[in-house]
Amino acid sequence: MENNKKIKFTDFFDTVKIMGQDLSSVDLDRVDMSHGHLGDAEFSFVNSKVLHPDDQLPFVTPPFYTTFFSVGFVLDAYGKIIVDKLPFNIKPGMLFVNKPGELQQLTWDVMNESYGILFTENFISKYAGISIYKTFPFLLFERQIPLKTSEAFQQELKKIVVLIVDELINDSPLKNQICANLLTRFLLKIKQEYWEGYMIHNSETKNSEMKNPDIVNDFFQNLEYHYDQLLKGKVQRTLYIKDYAEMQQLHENYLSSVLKEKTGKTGGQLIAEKTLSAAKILIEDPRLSLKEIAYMLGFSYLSYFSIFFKKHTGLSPVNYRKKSLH
Amino acid sequence: MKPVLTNLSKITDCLAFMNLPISRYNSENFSFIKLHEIGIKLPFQSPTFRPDFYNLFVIIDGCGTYYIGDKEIEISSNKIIISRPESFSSSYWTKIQKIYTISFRKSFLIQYFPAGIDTILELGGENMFSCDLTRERVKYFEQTCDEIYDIWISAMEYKDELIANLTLNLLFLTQLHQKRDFKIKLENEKNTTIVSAFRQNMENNFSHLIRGQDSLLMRTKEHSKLLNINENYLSKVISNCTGKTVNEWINEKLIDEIKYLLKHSDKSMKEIAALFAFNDLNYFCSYFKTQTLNAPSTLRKDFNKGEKNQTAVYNPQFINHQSFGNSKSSSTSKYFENGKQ
Repeated sequence: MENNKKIKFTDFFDTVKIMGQDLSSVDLDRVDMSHGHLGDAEFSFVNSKVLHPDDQLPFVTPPFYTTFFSVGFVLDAYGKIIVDKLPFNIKPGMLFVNKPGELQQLTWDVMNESYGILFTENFISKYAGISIYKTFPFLLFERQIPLKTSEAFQQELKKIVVLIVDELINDSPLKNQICANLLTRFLLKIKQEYWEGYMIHNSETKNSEMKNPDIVNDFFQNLEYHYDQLLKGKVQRTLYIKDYAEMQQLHENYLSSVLKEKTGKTGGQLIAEKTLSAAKILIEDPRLSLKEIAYMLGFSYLSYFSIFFKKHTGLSPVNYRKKSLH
Repeated sequence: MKPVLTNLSKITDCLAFMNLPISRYNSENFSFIKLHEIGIKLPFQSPTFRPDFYNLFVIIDGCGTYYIGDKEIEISSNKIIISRPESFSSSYWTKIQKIYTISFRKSFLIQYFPAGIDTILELGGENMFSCDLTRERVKYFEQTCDEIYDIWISAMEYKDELIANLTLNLLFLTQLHQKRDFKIKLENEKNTTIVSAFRQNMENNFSHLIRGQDSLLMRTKEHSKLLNINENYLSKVISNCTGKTVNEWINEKLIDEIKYLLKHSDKSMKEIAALFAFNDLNYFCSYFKTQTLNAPSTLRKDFNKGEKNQTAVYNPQFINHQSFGNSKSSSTSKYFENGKQ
């Protein structure tokens, strides 16, 4: 991008602003602008037609990083999306998925019907008990996005989208669970349609003959794999950037610089973020004591863990747990 | 006059026992039946089973009665009934126009969607839940059922996940119909896990007793050992969350089971007592009396009196089957309410 300094990491509400909505005057907990946008920071639905009326087109967002997954479901719209500097043209019948930490820039030229679903890893793990790594690995590792959808498949997906909107409007006591359920169904359909028999290649069995080794992608795969093992209790120690570099037979400085260039974050930051999201998931499970969690994540003292957690979230683990359990 | 008593528990065994055409997709974990398409001769009295699975009946158009434990639930159109496993249950049908039955084990859902399942499957502390649906909801349930069926008979790779997802969706909607003031207060996940684990252990214990695999009725001490927690702690969690003590849970379940057998089987008092590990018939009777203020024989007599004037219909479908134990009632009869649909 022309000027890297302009690029910011955006949290959910920044992103909504970028997408063309000013939330400053609205109650942030219950956003409802005639259903252009529904939901909260954990799970949201966007109706782009409402957000971008014809007289404001074409609409261009500045480049931004997201902190959540987003699925764009284009039925009838034209535009462009640039993901990690790779441009794709948006055409009717297109489906695109973005993962957190991707640099993206979205342009809408013609907008008749298009929806977006935004969700965090935490949301789907908390309310559906699903690990994205295990159930929907393609969200993390695939670059074959955007996808073309058939007419029939569009109808199937749209049915689910309508149910999600209904649920968000109805606001029942089980709203989060049902939304997570519907979201899972949405993703399962995509998985069934495009990734039948999809397997993550394990870091052990990997591949010297891959033509275009994607360093960043491999790093994320190793990272996800390692944390999956960590949560299962199969490995005890956390890895440092050096270890990840060795896995790809690279020098740690080189890996760091590639990561910094492609993702805008240092390797250490990426690892810390992953640790943090794993910690949040574990803390919300009240069966585990904080000490157990600290050991699981490779901290040798509970106090180290507390300091780490507080530094990144502003809350101590104890308070975070209290808050998550009301 | 009574349904055949069996203690069959697996989905496949139950279907085989009734000589129903079994689709090749049926497994022990999940089965989907369109009751109206399998050629059941009406009126139909199902045998008594002791399922190890949950049953969800989506009744679009039909009539009958569902018996579980001590309860009788009227089956009518636009209604759903969901029952928990490990309770004696049977059903009686007078009209089957359009009825879907979804049977599944808890493990089937948990393997794909581990979160929040415990709460929705507690059914507010009862062993069943039923409610009437609005017309729109019925339509939604019907559509979802059709979708489940289509996926079920397809060859999709992720069909189990999709089926579990859709089933779960129906369960969530069912839970929304339950009253807000649950009998069980499930404040946090930790206690939920304990409550539902305790309930499951208790129910398993009963099933083991009935199948003769165990000879001890578990009380607080054994339960706390099984869960690896302190006895006092277990008592506290259970009574705080559910408003019932551990022993109240056990006694209620025990009485519920005994009442079912008294009403819907020809087993002698002695056999029933032996089934639940009472060594002494006198103790059984006095225990029953203290819990219900009624002697077991009175309950049976009163119930039978009510049934007498109902027409008995001979059902040849089960004649070749042996019911369990040495019960003499291999000639199966059925009864149904006067007045047809």
